[in-house]
Amino acid sequence: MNLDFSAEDIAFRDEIRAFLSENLPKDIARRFSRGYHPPKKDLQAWQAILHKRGWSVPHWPVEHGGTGWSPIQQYIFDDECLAADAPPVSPFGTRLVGPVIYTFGSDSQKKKYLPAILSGETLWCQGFSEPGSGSDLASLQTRAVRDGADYVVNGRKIWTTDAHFADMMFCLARTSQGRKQQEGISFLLLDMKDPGVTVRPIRTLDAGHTVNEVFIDNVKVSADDLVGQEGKGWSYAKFLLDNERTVNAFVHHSKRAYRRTKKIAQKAQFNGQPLFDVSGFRNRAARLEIELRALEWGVLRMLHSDVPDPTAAASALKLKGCALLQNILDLALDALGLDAIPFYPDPEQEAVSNFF
Amino acid sequence: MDLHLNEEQKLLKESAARFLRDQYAFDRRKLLIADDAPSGVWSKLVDLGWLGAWLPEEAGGLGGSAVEFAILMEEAGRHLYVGPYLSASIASALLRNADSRGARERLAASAEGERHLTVAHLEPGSRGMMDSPTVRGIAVGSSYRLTGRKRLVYSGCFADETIVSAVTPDGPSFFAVPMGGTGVATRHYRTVDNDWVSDVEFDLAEAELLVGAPGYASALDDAIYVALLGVGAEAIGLCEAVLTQTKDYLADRKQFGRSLIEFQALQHRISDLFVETETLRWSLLDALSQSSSARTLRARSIFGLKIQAGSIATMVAGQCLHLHGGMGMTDEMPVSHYYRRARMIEAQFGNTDYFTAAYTTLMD
Ligand SMILES: Cc1cc2nc3c(=O)[nH]c(=O)nc-3n(C[C@H](O)[C@H](O)[C@H](O)COP(=O)(O)OP(=O)(O)OC[C@H]3O[C@@H](n4cnc5c(N)ncnc54)[C@H](O)[C@@H]3O)c2cc1C
Repeated sequence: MNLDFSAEDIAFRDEIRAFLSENLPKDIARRFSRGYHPPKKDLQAWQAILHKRGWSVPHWPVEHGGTGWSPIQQYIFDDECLAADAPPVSPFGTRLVGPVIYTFGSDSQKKKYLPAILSGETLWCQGFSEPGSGSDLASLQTRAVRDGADYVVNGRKIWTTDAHFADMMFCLARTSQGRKQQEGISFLLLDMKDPGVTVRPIRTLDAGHTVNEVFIDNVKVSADDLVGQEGKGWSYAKFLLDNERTVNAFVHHSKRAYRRTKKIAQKAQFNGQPLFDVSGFRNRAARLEIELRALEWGVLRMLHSDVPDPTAAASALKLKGCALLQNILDLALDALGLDAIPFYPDPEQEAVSNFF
Repeated sequence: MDLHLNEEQKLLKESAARFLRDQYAFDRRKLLIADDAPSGVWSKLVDLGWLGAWLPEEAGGLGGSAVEFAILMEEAGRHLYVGPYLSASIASALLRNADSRGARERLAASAEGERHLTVAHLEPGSRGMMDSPTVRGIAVGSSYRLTGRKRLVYSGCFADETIVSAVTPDGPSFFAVPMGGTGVATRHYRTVDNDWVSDVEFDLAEAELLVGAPGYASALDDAIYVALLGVGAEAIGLCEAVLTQTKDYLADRKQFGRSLIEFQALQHRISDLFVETETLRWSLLDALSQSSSARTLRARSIFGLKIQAGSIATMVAGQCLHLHGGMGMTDEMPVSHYYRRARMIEAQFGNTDYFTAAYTTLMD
């Protein structure tokens, strides 16, 4: 076992840093640094820059446009991008449906869809969840009925992130009734510009708009846009979710949030000293820092070694990772103290407390 | 000792509950919070006697006590009330033991709804209510001129007058300043929980002295007690309401062919939240029991309530949000508003870290 980053890894990190400082547009970074959902134009502009350098999908196989980097290099890349306030590339094409298409898709699907996923010209959304099917996803009701060369799709999707600006949706729909709920589900690629698609925004508790309800009303999907075999959609969906083993640990987000929390606490004054030096606060920060160090090794372990039960280990990463991120953000709010109270609805607005 | 509400208190609780249910139902509230300034419901609260309900008769009140105030705030919390009531009550608390004529007049005018008061005490950089003011006051003839900055003035866009803490050569004191007066610049904005607040900059603003340096510390203590009692009682109403709504949601929501409430894992989580909410009520009784105790005794109990309220309400509402699944993330569902309010209760007037540090200095 060797627990050190190699000299090449360090050199690689410096290369990424140099690239980011030269190429990441300041306005995109500033908007993302303020914690708002990145707008479509920022997502696409940044992905185009990465694409030009050949770095928009490092994790893909080289033959499809990947970089051939080691898992640890990909990890370093993600870490540095987020640390520099680059908005993460939209995951729906690059991380979710892309790998499904190059693994199970037809040659014509690969030709038709992969290049625009790589460049970010086509943005995707994920149509899995439905009003009646959340945790129990396999109970989904959206139907696709074969009609000549097409499927006619009817149903309702909900929580569809970015549906309001996505060009395409990959969606799960029932093509037949199996013995088990998981049988008879198919994986379809659906054009969001079809007149039968209606997107209703869902306003979230942060007064933002990322999720939507999508009504699918007699939408025609060519049988050419069925991925893999009819009725086998559930196994592709599982493959897709399994690809995301370490992403949902949000370790880069937590590291970034922790660094910012620390900065806030070093600046804030509490009874005449920096809050970060106040023992009660420092103890809480220490506990989170320790959990963060552990989580990082949890992710590196998953990337590097053969974990006995990867699915269970991925759940551990997801649960611990999300709880840790929430606890770090809670600590950030506590560090802000009374500055946590004002609401800033507009990403371009200066902070109210800068008034003085 | 008798921990029951008396007949009048029961009636007060019922009337407050009925009023908020009718006038402040969640759908109606949505429209009210979309306004630029609090309106509508306020004059009705005044008519119902909310402002004077807990004040002694000689202070223009109805002869009630801290219990009446807690009853009203608990109902306010249940219905997610946001608006001028708490800040106006803190202003009353500041003035109630003052012997100046100006203070007595304002107390009565406030209870009658003739003059709406708020408090400008927190400043940029302050972390809680015990931080000393830096706004300066200088005497000019029989009045004063104030200079400096205040922030998080609740209902500043709506108040006629604000009670301002400022330092004079004699020591810290409280003054009255008209909100629209010369030398008063305001910036109005909203809070995470949809309340209305303002930053205020005084530039030689004319001010009337209400509480001089000798009375300052005890007036501030009274204000802190009422502020923390208010959010403490509010947090109880909030936790009970959000827990009830979450149980109802889980009973309605079916996944895997049955109601989610039938899953024992979820029943356990609900029970844990109930236990936490119960402990909050115990702390409220503790704080009420000390309402007229000596300084340190009262401070310990009320800091304790604030600490419990902030952490428990945040935890309970946060868990309830999670139990709603995706629905919890929507603006449409009350639970997301309960969560935001709970998180602001934690931050308001000084957070758990702030009051815990203060508590440790008061331990025997
Ligand atoms: C911000 C956001 C973005 C999203 N984006 C997308 C997207 O792009 N595409 C998409 O398809 N979906 C998306 N989702 C949907 C997400 O995958 C679902 O919210 C999730 O599957 C949970 O389903 P639900 O919301 O219906 O919760 P429910 O299934 O109704 O669950 C409610 C609560 O009960 C708990 N629970 C459920 N069953 C059990 C059980 N058997 N035992 C114990 N506890 C249980 C849950 O943990 C939860 O706390 C998004 C959700 C959010 C919040």
